[in-house]
Amino acid sequence: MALAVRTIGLTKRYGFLTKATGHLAVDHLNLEVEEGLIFGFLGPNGAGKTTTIKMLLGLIFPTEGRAELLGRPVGDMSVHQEISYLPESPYFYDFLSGAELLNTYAKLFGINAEERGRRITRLLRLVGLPDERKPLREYSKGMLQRVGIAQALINEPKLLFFDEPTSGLDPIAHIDIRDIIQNLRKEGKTVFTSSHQLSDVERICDRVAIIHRGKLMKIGDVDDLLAGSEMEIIVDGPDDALARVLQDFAQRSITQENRLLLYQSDEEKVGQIIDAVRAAHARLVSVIPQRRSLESIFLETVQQDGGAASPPLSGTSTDGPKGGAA
Amino acid sequence: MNVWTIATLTLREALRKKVVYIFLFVAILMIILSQAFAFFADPSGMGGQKAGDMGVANASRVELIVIKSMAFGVIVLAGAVMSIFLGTDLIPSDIDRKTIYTLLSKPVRRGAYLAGKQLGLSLTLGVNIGLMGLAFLVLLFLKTFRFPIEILVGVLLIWVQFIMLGSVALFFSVFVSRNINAALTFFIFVVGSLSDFLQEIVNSSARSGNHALAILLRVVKWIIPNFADFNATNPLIHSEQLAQTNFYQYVFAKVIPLGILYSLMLLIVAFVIFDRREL
Amino acid sequence: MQLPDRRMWLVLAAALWLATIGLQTWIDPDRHYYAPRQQGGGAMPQVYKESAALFGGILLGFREVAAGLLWVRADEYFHSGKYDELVPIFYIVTWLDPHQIDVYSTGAWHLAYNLGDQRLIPEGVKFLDKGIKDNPNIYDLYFQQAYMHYHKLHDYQTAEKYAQEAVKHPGTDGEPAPYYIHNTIAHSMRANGQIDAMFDQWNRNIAFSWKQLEPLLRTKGGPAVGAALDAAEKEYGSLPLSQQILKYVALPSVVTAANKDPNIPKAMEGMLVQVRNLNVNILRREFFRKGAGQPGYKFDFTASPPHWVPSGDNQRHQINTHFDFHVVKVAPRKLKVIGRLEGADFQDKLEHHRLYTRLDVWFRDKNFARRFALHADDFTWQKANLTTFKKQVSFPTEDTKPGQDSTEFSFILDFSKDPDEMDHKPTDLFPMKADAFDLTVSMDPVGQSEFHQDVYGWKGEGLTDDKHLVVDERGVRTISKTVTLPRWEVL
Repeated sequence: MALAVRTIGLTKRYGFLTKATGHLAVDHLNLEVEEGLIFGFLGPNGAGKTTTIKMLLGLIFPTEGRAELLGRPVGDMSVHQEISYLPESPYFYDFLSGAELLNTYAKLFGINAEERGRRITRLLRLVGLPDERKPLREYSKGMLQRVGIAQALINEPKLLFFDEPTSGLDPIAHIDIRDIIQNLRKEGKTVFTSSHQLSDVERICDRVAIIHRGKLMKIGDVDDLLAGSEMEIIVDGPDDALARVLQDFAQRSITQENRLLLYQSDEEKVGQIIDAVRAAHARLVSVIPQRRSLESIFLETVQQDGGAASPPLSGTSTDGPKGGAA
Repeated sequence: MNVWTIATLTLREALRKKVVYIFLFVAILMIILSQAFAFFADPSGMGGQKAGDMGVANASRVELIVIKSMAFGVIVLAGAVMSIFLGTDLIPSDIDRKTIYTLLSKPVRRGAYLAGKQLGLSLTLGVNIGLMGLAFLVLLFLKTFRFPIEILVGVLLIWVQFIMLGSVALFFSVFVSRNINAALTFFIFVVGSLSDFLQEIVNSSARSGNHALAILLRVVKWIIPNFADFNATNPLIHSEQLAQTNFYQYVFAKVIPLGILYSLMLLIVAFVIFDRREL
Repeated sequence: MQLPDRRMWLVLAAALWLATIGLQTWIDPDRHYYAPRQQGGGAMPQVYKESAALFGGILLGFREVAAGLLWVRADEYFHSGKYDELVPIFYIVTWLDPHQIDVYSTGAWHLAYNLGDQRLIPEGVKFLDKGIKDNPNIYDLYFQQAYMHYHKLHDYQTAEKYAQEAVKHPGTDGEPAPYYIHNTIAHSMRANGQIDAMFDQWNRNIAFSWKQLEPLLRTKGGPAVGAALDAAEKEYGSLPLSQQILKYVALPSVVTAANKDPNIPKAMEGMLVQVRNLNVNILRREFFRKGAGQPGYKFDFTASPPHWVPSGDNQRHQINTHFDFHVVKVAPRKLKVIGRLEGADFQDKLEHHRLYTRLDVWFRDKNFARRFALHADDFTWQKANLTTFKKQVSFPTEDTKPGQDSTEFSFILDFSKDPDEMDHKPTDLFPMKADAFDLTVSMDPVGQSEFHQDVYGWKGEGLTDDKHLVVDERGVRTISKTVTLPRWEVL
């Protein structure tokens, strides 16, 4: 399958004096996103998500490495015909109405007037704003985000970049937009989205990458990541000696009345626990694989890196230093 | 194509700004009030001292001179305020509101974006200066019952002057912050408006043997936009002088091309810087 | 999206920059016209040029307004008697707006005529010089300069030069120079003793005026005017032009027809009369002065009207003025001049109204000896310690009774007060700092009335004096005496 996004050693260093004083916002990132997927790009604040997206869009320039979109190098203007971008908390020319804004943006793609009219009608209906004639300054945040989605679809792109598309929205807008994004997959589009809303990511993304401090920590299909490798082993009434042995084998354990609940993801250790239970002739109640939450994976990944991971759900501030006078 | 789309977008955006209308309103009001100034400036007390057949100081002629000068002055002042106010805000407001991200992620080259902004600013200034010029013309019509169309050449001259000032503001806005930009642009406008003075200093330094200073200032004069060149409405104020000078050649063959070439040059340099700018 | 051709863009920008430098270099010489700064002249210190350019720049488009408002200020200074402040204001106003013709002409007029300090006359000349440099393509200021040289400096040669230059240029309205400027040329020539040139000039002026007038009369005038002109042409068409016109316009039928015709503007009628009067005058004077002072001619007081007639001998019959005067100090700074000038006593024999002889009086520091112009560049508006005062007196005075000796004159030179009562301090106006002073009293025949001149001839040919005849550089026989007064005889 063709790659929609590919980065090779993509690096962004802020601070321009030395490597020592510089701050690595993105650190030799190698990423491959296949076409047709909804790709979640996760990381705590300051992890380098927005920096990466901006590099991919040519808004800022990598210090090292390179990137390709739809098989063409970043900076190739022809790619821009086939991609689109919805920044976080976008603010459009607020004196225009939604239709006027879409019309203006459509002109930038060289779409003819007739086709513009058709697409605008369709898109406004799609995002649930079919008859809005008001200027954008009178729109709520949810309405603005709907317009943002519509403008991102005006050129019928193959690849879409969304930065925090659902943050700060009212519940209905949240659900609507989530559904719209999910539907894009059916149209065969590739969506590259950063999000704090792990529940959304878990629900809509096919594949996720987690970055922390500019480094890629984990990448994989959502199902694989969540599919539990952790087992829950419940032992009924072990004596104290056995309980101590079992707790040594387990990663963590919980004692419930006379039952011991043991958790271990290492298959070999799971085997050892079971062997030990059998050897002691204690009663093995159940061995159940656990489906994990993305949140726990996220926290685990980030903590492995020794990061003081701020909870990803907090706030909507962007990560990375602003593009300054570099 | 994209340049034009961005230009019209910029124009529409600027024309939604209430403050632009306030400037415009005040300016047109001042043009109308220039009549009051003309009343004060009537030197009939002095003209009356003269013998009758000697070139006669004509009060209404002097009044007209003051009205015209005042109106041109107001247009220049309002034009300067508008170009600095609008020009310094063009790019920063797009960056602050992230609208630039949606624009540049579309097939819009940075050069086209800048050119569109410059063109849009120029159109905005053109609309405003044109309206002021029209008010001026109407006032003159009410005074003299004829339309001195040549006045519009002066208005055109002022427009090109502020296209140039706008390009200065746009140029700075690609690498300095808004407030610094406003100060810098204003400074450049002042220095550029003093280029005749600069030339005098060059002349006197050269005469007094201070060649280093003369050369330095000459280079400064070459670099800065010479706004003083546009301060040439005098023959329009004394319309009889029009026949005595090569005013139209001066305007159309020299100064307007200068303004356009200079703006173009700044636009290109701005583009070269902006092309590497991290957004 | 860095463009690979970044360097090409920079090269293009550099090329554009060079083009702007080229254009700017082309523009620079033009700036003198649009920029508010003093041109050439050498008289203006560089710092003034710089300040003018500085303020012109700071004021942006408002400099003409500033000039207008300063001009009002000048008016206030004038009325409150702050004359010394006026000159700088005149200059500032015209630096800011070098094309305000009215400011130049009015300002120069003030300096030369209205400020009551004759030492400012050269300042007026200088101011007009600047005006001419700033506005060289219109006649207005050349004419002003001619007028001032004629009336204030009595430098008729320069007056003629400026008038000649004036008629080469159109006015502020684009129209050619009007007839009175052409006439100034002829007047200057006469005053300068160039009589033949004067006649040629009058003929040219008349032809010039007539060439403008006749078609206007015919196109604007009704059939009556046309018929009168036709009749005149039929009758006089073969005469020389000047006589032709004389006859035409002297014809009551043409003048009356023109006067009655409502379509002929008043100005044109005035011109018509002007042309006629000039003609009459010139031809008349030519007749009366013929032979003045020449051998074989004498002045016949009995002829009607009196004029020079053949004397029948070959003698020169000139009129001897026996001119002399002496000075008496009647009080400090107050001198009485008592004298005698004969030859003007023919007046009783002319059956005309009484004639007055004009005397030019010039009191000044000893050795301040310029006969004509005080040249502008020699003089700054800081008036220093110079004393110079000119006036014209005429005699006999009104109260000389018929039969009384009308060849005697006396007048007072009072330096203890401002002669124009403009509140100048007499010690400022007449500092009297020199050790001695010259007082000249003279009678210039070209400055006299036409009836005197009919007796004296065009250049005073009919005039002589035993002791005080001066044939000056114009070839004019002037009667003039200078006495030197030590300071104590004045103060």
